[in-house]
Amino acid sequence: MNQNLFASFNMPMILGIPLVALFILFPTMLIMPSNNLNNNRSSSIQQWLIQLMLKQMMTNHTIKGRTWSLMLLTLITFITLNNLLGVMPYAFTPTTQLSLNLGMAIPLWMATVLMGLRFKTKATLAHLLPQGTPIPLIPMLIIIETISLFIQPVALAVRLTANITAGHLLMHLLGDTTLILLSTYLSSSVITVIVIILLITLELGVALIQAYVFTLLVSLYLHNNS
Amino acid sequence: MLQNFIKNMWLPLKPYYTEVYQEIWVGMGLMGFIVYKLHAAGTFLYAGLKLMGSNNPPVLASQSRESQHLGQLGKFEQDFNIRELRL
Repeated sequence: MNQNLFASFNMPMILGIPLVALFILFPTMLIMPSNNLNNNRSSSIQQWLIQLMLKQMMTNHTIKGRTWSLMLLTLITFITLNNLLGVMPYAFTPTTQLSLNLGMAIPLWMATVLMGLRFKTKATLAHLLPQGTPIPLIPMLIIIETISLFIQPVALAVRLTANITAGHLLMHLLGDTTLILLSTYLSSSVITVIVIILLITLELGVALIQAYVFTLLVSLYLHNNS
Repeated sequence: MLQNFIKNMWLPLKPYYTEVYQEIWVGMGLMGFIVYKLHAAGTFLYAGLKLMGSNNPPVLASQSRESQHLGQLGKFEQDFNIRELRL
């Protein structure tokens, strides 16, 4: 039993050594690369999923954008598996840590902006002013568009953190409520158990969707700048 | 082991690391700079509070001794505080 509501968001430690690296590297054990033409069922399913994600994400990109296929596939796989880790009870979810999500968002966003400035400088700078803007509004709109550009990595990271954290908090709250109600009002605890089951299903969906949204937005920024 | 690493990891991915991901390295450098600045600010604040004679300078939640009953356990249990599962 956790001591408080936020205990599962603390970094697990042994002898003062943080175990975060183990938690982050654990999903790599679930992905099994193979050089065989015909694989076993799990490898075949993984390869089919990877092909599906690749086709879905990279069809609309230019040749330059498609060089990022490996990066984007790794990103969506990493975030999906880390999010799904948290749906297990008492597990630590790496993607609830803003530091990890900012560590993913800032380099990738910066890379897309630098790529745009390096290869398509005029087009990238032209994006700071929407077409058809009235002349008196131009200075203000450029400032607004610049601010919205710099907010993009923060929004990426905070969106993922908040969505995953909120779901886990709700599950903890309802779990504690159920435990208390078990000894007092048994019929109410049945309702809370049903709600928890529905919430876990929602959390599974949120885990997959948030990974897809994160990767899709990075892919969109890449598409705008390549 | 190094030869295997170079053959299996570095050689296939060399074009990515050297050509495709150049801008990502710059982004990672910026991220590292931000992390360094945040860490330095935290250390500076902690040192300043201790210098001013604060008896209870703030401690990160992950570094704190979490609750009262942890204090009642032995040193062994405190060190192995990864999770407390009451089975």
